[in-house]
Amino acid sequence: MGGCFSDVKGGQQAVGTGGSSGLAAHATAQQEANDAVGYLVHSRGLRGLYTTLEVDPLTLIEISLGKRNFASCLQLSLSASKLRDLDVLSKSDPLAVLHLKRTDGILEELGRTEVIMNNLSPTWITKFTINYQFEIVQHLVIGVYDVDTKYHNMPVKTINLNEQDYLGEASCVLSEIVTKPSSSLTLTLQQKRGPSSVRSGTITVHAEEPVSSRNAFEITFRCSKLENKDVFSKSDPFLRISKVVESGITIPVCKTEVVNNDLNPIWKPVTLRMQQLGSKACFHTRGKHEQLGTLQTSVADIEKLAWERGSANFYAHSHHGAKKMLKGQLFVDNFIEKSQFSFLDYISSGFQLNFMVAIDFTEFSASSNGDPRHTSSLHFIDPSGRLNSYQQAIISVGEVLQFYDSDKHFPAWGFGGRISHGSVSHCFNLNGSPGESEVSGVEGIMAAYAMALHNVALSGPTLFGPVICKAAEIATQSLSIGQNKYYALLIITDGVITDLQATVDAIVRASDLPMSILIVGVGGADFKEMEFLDADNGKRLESSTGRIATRDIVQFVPMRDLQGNQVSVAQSLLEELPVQFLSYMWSRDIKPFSLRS
Amino acid sequence: MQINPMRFPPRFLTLPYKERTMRIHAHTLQQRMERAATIEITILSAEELRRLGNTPTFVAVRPGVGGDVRSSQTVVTGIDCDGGRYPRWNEKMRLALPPSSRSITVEVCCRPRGGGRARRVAAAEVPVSDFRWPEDYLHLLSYRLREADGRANGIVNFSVRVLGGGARECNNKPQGGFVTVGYPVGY
Repeated sequence: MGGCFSDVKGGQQAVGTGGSSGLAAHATAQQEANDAVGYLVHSRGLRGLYTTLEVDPLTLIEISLGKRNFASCLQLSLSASKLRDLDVLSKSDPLAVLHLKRTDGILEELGRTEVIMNNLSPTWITKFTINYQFEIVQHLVIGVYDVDTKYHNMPVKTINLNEQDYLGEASCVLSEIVTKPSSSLTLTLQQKRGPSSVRSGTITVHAEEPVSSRNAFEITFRCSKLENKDVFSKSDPFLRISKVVESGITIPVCKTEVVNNDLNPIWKPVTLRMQQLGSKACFHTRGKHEQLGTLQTSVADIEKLAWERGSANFYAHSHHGAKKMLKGQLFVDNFIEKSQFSFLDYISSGFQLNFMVAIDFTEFSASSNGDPRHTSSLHFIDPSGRLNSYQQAIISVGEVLQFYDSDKHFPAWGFGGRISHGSVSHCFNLNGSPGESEVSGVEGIMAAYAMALHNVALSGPTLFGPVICKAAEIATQSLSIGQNKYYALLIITDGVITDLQATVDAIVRASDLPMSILIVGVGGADFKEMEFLDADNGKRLESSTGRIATRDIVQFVPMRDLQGNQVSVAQSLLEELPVQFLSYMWSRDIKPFSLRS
Repeated sequence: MQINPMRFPPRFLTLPYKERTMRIHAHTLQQRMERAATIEITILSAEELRRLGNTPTFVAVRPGVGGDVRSSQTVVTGIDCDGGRYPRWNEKMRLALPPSSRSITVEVCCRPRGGGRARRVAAAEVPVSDFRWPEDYLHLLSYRLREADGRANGIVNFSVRVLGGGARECNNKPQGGFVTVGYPVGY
C-alpha cells in the first residue's frame, strides 16, 4: 500500500485494490511527473513555487528524458437511496461491489463494502482505493445486493454473490465522477434482468484524493563538522536527497545548491513532495564529486530533528559494505508543511480541457495519403467499418478528453487540402461551413471528417503554422473570459512538414498560452522533425526572433510504434497533458475556484 | 499640444503664474501617462551565461529603440552575487512604456567583484507585440540573449503583465532619463 503513503498519515482504510505492484509503480511515476514540473518551473526560476532541483544544470537534462505518467490515488465512497425492499419482515440489507471493466470487457472486482442492516438508504463506510489514470477511460460497474441474514457473520469477501438478492447495478466512467462539482456522481440503478421500469433507487459515488497526496514540505538543512576534502581550501558541499525504492535502489529526488568553501553550510530551503519521498529518504552530503557522507532516514525523523533541534550523524560506506560513523552532522533548521493543488483539484472545481482537432489533407506520396478511395490510402474509409489510422487517433484521444469538456463542442479543421473553389487551404473547417468550426461530440468529428474526404481534394504542402495559430487565437480569446480553460490540439499528420521554422515560431508563442499540442504521426514517413518539436530531449524550442518556449507543450507519438503494442495511442499521447496543465497553472499561481478569495 | 478647455476654464488666466505653470505641467504629464501603458515586469533568472565565472550580475530593462527618450526610464534589479552562470533575481518592477516603443530591451549586466564599472554582458530585444494582449495577463517569456556582436550568450526568463485599469498608478513615479534602482527581495 506504499502508493497511498498511509503509513505516515495513518488511519486510511483501503480495501481490495488492484494489487500493490500497480500502486508502487504509480508512486514512481508520480514522482517523475513532479520532477517534470519541477524542471519546468525551475527553468524559469520560480523558486518560491516549487523547488526540487538546485544549481546543477546537468540534472535538468536527466529529468526531462524520463517518460512521465500521470496517476493519482483516489478514494471512492458509496451511498445509495431508495433501494428496493426485498425482505418481507424488515428492510433490505445492502452490500455494494465495485468492479473495474477492463478493455477486454472482463469485470475485475476492486472490492466490497460492508453489509448495512435493515436500511434502504445506506451510506457505506468502506472506501475503495483506485489508481486514477488520466490517459485511459476507466469504466466502473457497481452492483448492489441484498445479503441474506444467514451470511451476516461471514467475512464479506467470502460471500457468494450468486446466492444473494440482486438490487441493481450502475456503471460510469471515473472521469465523469472527478469532473463533477464536489466529485460526486449520482446514478440510477438498473436491473440486469427483469423489466427496466422497476424503480430500484440511486447510488452516489464520491471521489476524494487523500490529503497526503498534496502535501509538500519545505525544509531548511544545515550541516556541521563536515570532513575537508579540498587541499588548499575547504570542501564545497551540497546535499542530495534520494528516495529508497523497494528494491533498495536510491533515486535522486532533489539537490541543494553548492555552498562554497564551508564545512558548516546552511542551504536554502528545499521543497519535497510527499509523493516524491514515500516514507524513507536518503541523504548524501557531497563535496564536489566526492561523497562526504550519507544518511538514511524518514520524513518523520526529519520532522523530529526539527522539533527537537537535534542532529543526526553521517556515515561513510567502505567498499566492503561496512558503515563508519562520521563527525559530520545534519541539522534541520526549519520544517514547514505545505500543500499544492493537484490536477483533480482544478478539474473538480470547474476547470476544463477543451479538445480541438486538425487533420492532414496533404497528398504526401502514393504510398502515403494518396487517393482516399483507394485501399492503399491512409485516408481510405473501409466500408466494413474498420477504422483507418486517422479515425483511430480521433476516437482514442477524443473518448478520453470528451469528459473534461462540458459542452462537448470541438473545433475541427483540416489542412493542406484543395477546397471547393480550387485553392489550397492550410486551415479549413472540417464540417464545410465557412464560419463555424465547431462540431458536436466525437461522432461529429468523425462525420465531418468523412464528409470532408468527399468534398476536399488532397493536396499540399504540409503546413502546421496556420492551424496552431488558429488554435492559439481561440485560447487567447478564452483568456478574456476567464482562466479556467486549457486547450488540447490534436494534429494527425502523415509526416514531413514544410514550414518547420513557422511551426516552431507558432509553438513558442503558444507556450505562453493555456494549450498543449498532441501530434500523431500516421504512415511510414520520417518523423525526425516531430521529435524535434516534442522537446523531450530537454532542449527548449527557439523561434526565429530569439524567443524561447517557456515550457514543453508538444507531445508526439508515431502510430506505427504502437501497432500491436498494448499501450494505446491515446495513452502515450495524453500522459504528459496533466503535467503540462499543472505547469501552466502553477507557474501563474492560478488557484482552483473553490479555494479562491 | 491641445489644452482641454474643461480643465483650463476662462478664470484660469486669472490664477497666479506659479499655479498656472503647475497646472499645465500636471496636465502634460497626465496626458503623456494616459497614452503610455505601464508594464509590471518580473525578472526571474538567466541561464547558461558564458565567460562570466562567478561575477555578480543584475538586469536592466528599458523601452527599446523608438521609445520617447524624454519619458523613458530604465529600471534595474538588485545584484545576484552567488548565481554565477545561473543567476536569479525574482524581482518585480514597473516600467512606463511610451506608445511609440515597439520593444523593450532586457540587458544582463555584471559588476566585477574587485570593483570597477558595471558592463553589459548580453541583451535581448523583446517586441511589445509578444506581451501587449490580453491586458492583465501574466505572460511568461524567455529570450535568447545576444552580445553586442550578435553572438548568443544564454537565456533570460521573466514575466510581464500589462497593467490595464491601474495604468495611472505610475503617475507619481519619477519621469525623465534617470535610473530607478530597485532593491532585491528576500536577501
